[in-house]
Formats: sequence, C-alpha cells, structure tokens
Amino acid sequence: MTELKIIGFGSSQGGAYQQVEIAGCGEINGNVTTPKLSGSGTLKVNGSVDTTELAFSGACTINGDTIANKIDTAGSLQIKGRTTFDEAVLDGATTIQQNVKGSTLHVNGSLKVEQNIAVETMTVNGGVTVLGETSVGTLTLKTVNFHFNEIHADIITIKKPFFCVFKKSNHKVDIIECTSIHAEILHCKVLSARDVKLSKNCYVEHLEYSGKLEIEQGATIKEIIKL
Amino acid sequence: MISKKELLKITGISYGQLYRWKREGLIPEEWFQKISVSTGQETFFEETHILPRIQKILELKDSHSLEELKKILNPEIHEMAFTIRQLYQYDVFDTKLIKQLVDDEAILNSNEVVILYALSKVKRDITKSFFKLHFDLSLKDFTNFYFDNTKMALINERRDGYIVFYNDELLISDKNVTVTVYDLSLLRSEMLAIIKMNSYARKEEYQYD
Repeated sequence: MTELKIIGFGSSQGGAYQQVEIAGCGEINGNVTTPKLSGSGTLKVNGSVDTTELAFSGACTINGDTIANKIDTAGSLQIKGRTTFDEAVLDGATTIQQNVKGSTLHVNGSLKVEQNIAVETMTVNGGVTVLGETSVGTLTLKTVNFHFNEIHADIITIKKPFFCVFKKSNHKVDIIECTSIHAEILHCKVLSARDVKLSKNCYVEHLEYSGKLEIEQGATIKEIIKL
Repeated sequence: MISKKELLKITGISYGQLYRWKREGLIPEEWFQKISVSTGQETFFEETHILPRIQKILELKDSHSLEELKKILNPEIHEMAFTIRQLYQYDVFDTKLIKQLVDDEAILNSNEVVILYALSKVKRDITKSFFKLHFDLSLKDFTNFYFDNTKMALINERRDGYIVFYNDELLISDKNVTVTVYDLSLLRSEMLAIIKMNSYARKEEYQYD
C-alpha cells in the first residue's frame, strides 16, 4: 500500500492507502480505506471513508459513509452518509445528513444530525440539533442551545452554563423518555421518566414519572401524572 | 400489540434499559413500531416477540457477556442446527430426496441444509420425469464445506443429470451436454431468507390460534 500526500492543491483517486495526509486543498474521488486520514486545510472526499483515525482541522466534506474508530475534527465537518465511530471529538461546526452510531461523542461547537443518533455517551458544549431520534446511554448537555425531536436515554443531565444568553437560546425537546433526568434548563412537550429533577428554568407540558420527583419553585409543569 | 408504557410496566424495565438493548442489537429495530394515536405517535410491539425476548435478556444478562447474549438471541445461520421435522415445515425441500439422503433422526448443520436445498431446487427445475439425477456424495461431505465462490452445476447428458461442484471454471468438451449453473452463495442467502420468512409466518400463525 502507498501513502497519499497532498501538499498544496491536488486531487487523487480513491483506494486503499497506508496513510492519507492533506496540507492545503485536496480532493479524493472514490472510496478511501486507510488506517489514518489526517491533515489541515480543505478536504473533499467524493466517496466513503473507512479509517482507524480521522483527524482533520479546517473544512472537511465527505460525500459518503464514514466509518472510523476515532474522529477528531476542528473546523467544519460535513458528512453526507452514515457515520459510525467508537469515539468522536467534534470541535467546530459539524453536519451529518444520515444516521450516526457510536460509543462516545463529545461535541464542542455545533452539531446537526438530520437523521437518528445512537451513542452510549454524549457530551455537548455548544449547540446540538437532532432531527430524528436520539438514543443514548448518558447524555450530558452543558449548553442552553439544543433541539431534539425525541430522546430515549438512561441518564440525562442538562446543566446551564454560568454565562449564557437566555433570550436567544433554544432548549427544546419534543419527547424525552429516560430513566432519570436532572435538568437546569429545558422546554419539553412530553417528559416520561422514573426519577425527575427540574430546576426553575424548566417548562414541561406533560410530565409522567414513576419514581422520585423534585421540582424547584419557578419551574412550569402543565400536567403531572404519577405512574 | 402492546404499547411501550405497558411493556415497561409489565416487565419492570426502564426506558434506558429498553433503548440500550436496542442499541446493543438485543432487540431488533424493526420491532419498534410507531403508530399514530390521538395524542401523536406511540411505539408498539408485537407481544409474542417482545415479551419472551425481554424475559430471556433478563434471565441471561447477568450470566453472559453482551457478545454471548447477541449470539444466543440472534444466531447466525452457520450456527443453526436443523432437525428433519423442521425441514419438512419449510416446504422447499424435496421429501423423497431427504428420505434418500438423511436419517429421520439426523440433525443437520446449515451447510448440509443448503446442499439439500440446492438439490431440491435442481429436482424442481428438472421437469421431465425420465431425468435421472446422479448425486454420489454424502451430505456429511459438506459439513465443513466452504461455499464462497463455489458453484454447483447440473450436467444434463441425454436422460441423466450429473451434479458437480467447482470453483473457477468448468470445462466440458462434449457439445451434446447442457449445463445449468447454481451459485451456492446465492442459494445460501436464499435459504436464509426462507428460514426467516417462515419463522415470522409461523409466529403469526401461532398468534391467531
């Protein structure tokens, strides 16, 4: 196997490479299989990526599926296909158009997933929007900017950062079903959980719980049902 | 059908557990059926599928690893074993052929079943009754057979049909014979689909009884 290095401007065909390194502006036409795809600048892959490590800073577009043990990106990342990983650290603006599946996901910046996401651990500092379903073991949101359609989780923790702009914030979730939730800020239509702890900045239209319920004064809950 | 809420109430599991087992592949995604109700959408399950599955997971989860549990709950075709009685239920095997090649008490692995399926298919394809099929091997010869890239050919010479297995190219010099080729990998996939379909059909039947 050969190494593929693009320094400056260049393009190449896809294939199996020992390593792919980009410094500048690169385009790969076809599917890429490599243990390591790394670099900085601009990268466009017109195909799928199958790698052990994807590490890129700058603007990276993958017009296909991505399978990686580890994804570490800074800058903008756009993936048009399905994305599978063990661990992903996404710094910057990330958009994924299809399903996301993985073990650990850290988002420092913004993430938009247009379909479903299924991970064991997810931590968000910044902003996140998931248009499909979110299935997660432990979800920690350290932000006031989040929009989920539906969350199924074991443990959810939503912490309001010390400095935050309330008026422009968007902290909406249509449906939450989880084992336990502790939220400092939330706007939710339907929340079903075993144990619930809500702070004063929470608004829930319909709350169902079966275990412990703790609601701070100032929180707005339209309807509460004990199962 | 049973709603998700009812399911959690009956089994005593939490939302977190249910969806973790879904993520881990212990409960198939297609079992989660979203149905529109007056309040929006709700998730429902087939009781006959989900209740035994959850009971099984609860029974085994402490004594088995995740990988072991996956294998127990979703056995791959190569790990399956078939009794002759089971084969009759699938309705795709030639009964005479089974009697000719296998004992009633035999338990076959998936390789042997694929060969039986392939031979049954050949027999179905032979429409003329005077055609005599020659197959001198035993099913045991295929117990550990590697199917990928292997093809089976029916060589038809006058009134006789001969079965041969080959990997790369089949060279035949006699121009008076006709050859029909069967791809064993494809037949294996076909067989798996039939087993799955049949198992769902039997579950439906059981449900309405």
